[in-house]
Amino acid sequence: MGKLCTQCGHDIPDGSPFGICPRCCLSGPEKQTDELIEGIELGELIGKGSFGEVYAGVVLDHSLREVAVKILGEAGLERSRFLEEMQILALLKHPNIAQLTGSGQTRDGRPYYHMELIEGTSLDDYQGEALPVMIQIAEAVSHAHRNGVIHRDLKPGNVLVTSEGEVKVIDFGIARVVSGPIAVAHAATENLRLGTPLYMSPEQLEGDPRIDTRTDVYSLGLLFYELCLGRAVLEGVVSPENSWSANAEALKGFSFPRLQPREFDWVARQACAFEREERYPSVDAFLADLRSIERGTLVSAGTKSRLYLAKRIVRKHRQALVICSLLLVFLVSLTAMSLSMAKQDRQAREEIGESMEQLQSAEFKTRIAASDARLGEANLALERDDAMEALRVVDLALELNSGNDEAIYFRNFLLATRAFARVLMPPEVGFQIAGVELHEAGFLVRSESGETAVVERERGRLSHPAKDIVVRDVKGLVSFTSSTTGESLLSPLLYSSGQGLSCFSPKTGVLATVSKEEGLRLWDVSKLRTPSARKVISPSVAWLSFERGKDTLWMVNEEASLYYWPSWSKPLPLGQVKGFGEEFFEKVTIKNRRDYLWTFWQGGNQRGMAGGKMVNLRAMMAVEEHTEKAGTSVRISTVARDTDVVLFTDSAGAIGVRKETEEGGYDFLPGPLVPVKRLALSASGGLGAVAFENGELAIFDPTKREYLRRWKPGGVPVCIALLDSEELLLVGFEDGTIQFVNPHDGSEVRERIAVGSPGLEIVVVPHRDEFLTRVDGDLHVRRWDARSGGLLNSGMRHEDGVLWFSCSLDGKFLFSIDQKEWNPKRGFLRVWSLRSGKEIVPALAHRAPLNCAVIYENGKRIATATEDGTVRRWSINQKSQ
Amino acid sequence: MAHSFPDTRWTLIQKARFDDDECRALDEWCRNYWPPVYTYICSRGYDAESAKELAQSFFEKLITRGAEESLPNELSGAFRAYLMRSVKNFLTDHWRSTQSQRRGGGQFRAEQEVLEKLSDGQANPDQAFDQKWALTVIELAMGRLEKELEEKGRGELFELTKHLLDGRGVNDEDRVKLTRSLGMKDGAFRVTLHRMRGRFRTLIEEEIRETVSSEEEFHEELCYLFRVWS
Repeated sequence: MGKLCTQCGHDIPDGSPFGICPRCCLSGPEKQTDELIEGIELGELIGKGSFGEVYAGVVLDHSLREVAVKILGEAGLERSRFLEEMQILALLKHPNIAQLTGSGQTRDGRPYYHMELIEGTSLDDYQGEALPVMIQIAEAVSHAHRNGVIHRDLKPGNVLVTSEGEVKVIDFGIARVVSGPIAVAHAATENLRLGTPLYMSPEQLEGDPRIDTRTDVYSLGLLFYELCLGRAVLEGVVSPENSWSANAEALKGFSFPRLQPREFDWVARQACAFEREERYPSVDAFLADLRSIERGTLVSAGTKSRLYLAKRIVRKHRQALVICSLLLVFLVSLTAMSLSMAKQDRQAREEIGESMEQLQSAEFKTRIAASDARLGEANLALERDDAMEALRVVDLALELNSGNDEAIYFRNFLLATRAFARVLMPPEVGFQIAGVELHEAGFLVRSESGETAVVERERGRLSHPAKDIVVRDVKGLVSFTSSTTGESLLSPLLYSSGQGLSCFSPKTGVLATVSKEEGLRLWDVSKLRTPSARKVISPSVAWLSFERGKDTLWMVNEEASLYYWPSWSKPLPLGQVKGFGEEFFEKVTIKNRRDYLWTFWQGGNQRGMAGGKMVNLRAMMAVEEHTEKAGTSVRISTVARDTDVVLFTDSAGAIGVRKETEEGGYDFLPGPLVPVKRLALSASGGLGAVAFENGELAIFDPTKREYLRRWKPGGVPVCIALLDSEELLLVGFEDGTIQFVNPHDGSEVRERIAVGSPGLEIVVVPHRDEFLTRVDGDLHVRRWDARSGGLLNSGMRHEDGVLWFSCSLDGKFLFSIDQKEWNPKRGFLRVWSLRSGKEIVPALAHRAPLNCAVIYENGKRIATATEDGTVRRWSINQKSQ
Repeated sequence: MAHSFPDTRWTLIQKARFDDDECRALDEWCRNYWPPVYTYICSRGYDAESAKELAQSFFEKLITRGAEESLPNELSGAFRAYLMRSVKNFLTDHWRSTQSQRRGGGQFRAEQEVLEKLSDGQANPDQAFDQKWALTVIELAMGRLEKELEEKGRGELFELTKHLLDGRGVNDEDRVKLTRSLGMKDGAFRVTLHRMRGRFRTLIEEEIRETVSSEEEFHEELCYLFRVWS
């Protein structure tokens, strides 16, 4: 046998052609990685980082730039963490941090990102001077901290040094982003002990969830020791084989070796203080001392003799003088040069401007994608009821892209539907607290030796009935839930990493917690609330609508009782509305919920009922008057999307257009009465279309109250929709095809397209020449181009089926009911982004099937009514915290 | 219809086993696998000269004796396994005939000695066959790659980088030398080298595919060859 293969470590057989390794040639069966990413040629595998593989690659554009491409492993279990790492890199722009240069998705759907390819050695193999390298590492970490990122895994393998001596910090795979100062309630993660024991801080080894920037200070200190000593300073002290607690204990008793010169020793020793409070408070402070050593001036760490102090001060001033003279020389030469260089400078600026624009556009795209990914994470956090984490993550999403409408909606939704605990000023107690209990005046605390003290609190007001509150404390995580509904009343509060005491005072609305780490803390938990307001109305509600500009809900139940429910009161019954006859309720309650939703709610009433209580009452009375006189009942009601044109039809086929007067009567379209199957209005209400039960179609002018055309198409129309531009009428037929008709002359604009049947429904996308469809059994919503008739995409996966959907007024969101058509047992109201096709907030789950749902003004208010009689309402107003 | 595995040389042999002309046309291809057969015979204790003669007569017999006789009715598995079985049978036949000529047991004893010698650390004949087979596949793929590159006028590239085809890393110094000799930019060189490696890998797979009759067998064969040194 000949040489060993440098890649696989096996012998290369003697007869091997040109001495290549046959095992490596045959290793596999491997994926054709070169085809994995469009536009990037992947080269050799250069490493396995956290959660993925890293390949060398070349970007196949004119630049042929070499990059390191990190691809999430095929298992994809750590997707969100991988995306987090990518977003963290996007946040960080520093010469000593490997820069993100792009990101995307591989052909097999895995996320990847690429960054500059650094050719250098890891710190393990670095043999040069310690100080310049250490300063660069600290500068990189300081930049990360200023951007709210804690690395958590600083070790020699994650620091590369190029042949020019330039440092690059890599692998932010387990870094965490913190917004602002660390809150105790910051959720613990399941991966607290990620990292390498040899370079971990005592708090990491102890599994303390409250990792902060001083954790990185400790690891930096360890790196400094290693650079000076040429070996890992904790080698033989901590080891992956030992238990975490044994390692932490070993660290506590460890005495660090003395470094030379003494300033090095002082700085490294302070960085590696066992107690966090004794370390440098920030990396900047550590960095300042490193720079002082470099300049030969005073360092803050260590104890110094007077002679030392005097020497350093003189030196410091001498340097200041030198700097001043240099600055003067520099300024003079600068003035002279600036005139001659002005012209070249302008040209260069233009060129730079162009490249900057390209760079900015790429960065913008990355930020949008990263922001969306964050929103997805926030959504998941909220789904597992971790509202605190959700808020933290959505704030990051908004930091990455402040114009992310979906993230804004999510944040408002979160703040409107979840309550958070507020930290109160901690009281002064002169001893170590061992116990806490309720007291008349607040809380009684006692020490181990039996001393007691009373922490006084004023009486507070709980926003939720005290007897309905269930408080649970599981290992330092306190949750407040409703005993009747089981819903969370407050975002769970984390106050300790495992051992602690808590005591809730319903009288004051305050929670007292005692933990080893933080001692006694008080929290205001009085603002408890359920995610939605709910009331039960029996029999169940079949119709509901918000009043415009008010937080008032109008409802009609299956006995035709009209209810008026302002936000400050319980639902108030206003009497019977006879126009809602038996036929109407039959559709809702038993026979065909879907048909009802699409006929009655097709136009939606997202703008709310205009005109106030009296006008609305009069309008209802006018309908009642008509139906009573005609002996009919209400069939269909439609409201134009952008104006107050309101239509209704009765069971005989009369089509009424509401008068725009305070009296609120209706004008009826002339012509023979034929029962109506569907009504459609254009967004402006300037054009109306009607599909009759006898298969005829008609176009009418609602303002003039007259028919423009009436004809019988080839086929049986089942649904109709008008584009915003009023240039196209979409007609869905029983056979599952859609016809594109010019409403002005009735001509067919292009060939029909086949979409599917039965149950075809069409909704146009506001402000766009696009429309959406569903058919029975669909789990996805299909999106079409109205101009070409081509399918744009099929997405927004539902669990039980797309029963109904409606776009928001601004065309940004889609609201849908996810529910089985036959024999449903539950229902979800979902909110989707029409931009990204993703769900914006966790689905609003209902234990019983939905009768109907109403969405007011782009989702500011939502109300739903279910078969079991529950009406729920959400108010999502613009708020800030 | 399910996707079917395309015809390979091996499936053609299977199909053409009653057609002498067809079979002979494949003679050339079979002879590509002369080295493993020769290695096998050598490791059975024959000296180089006899091994060469035996290998020669094995291939002659395999083809000229006619497919009907040389190929069994059921051809399952890879061509490699078939060829090994055949050469074993061939040697047994050969040994029997020499035995009957010599009327003695000398040859058998000699074989035993060889086997005993081989058992301490050296590859046994089967392993030697498989290892040589794997190297042959690689050489065949390399030969095709060289030809392809020569046709494109890039023979120099092959010449200078053939030792890197196994995917090993290239240090900065070597890469600078190579890019200078080839007159290429660093990025372009990386792309080219990577593409060449990709093509090489494809050619290896193609060679292996020629010796099996289904995608499943292909994967089995690839894994088998990868393990022949372990």
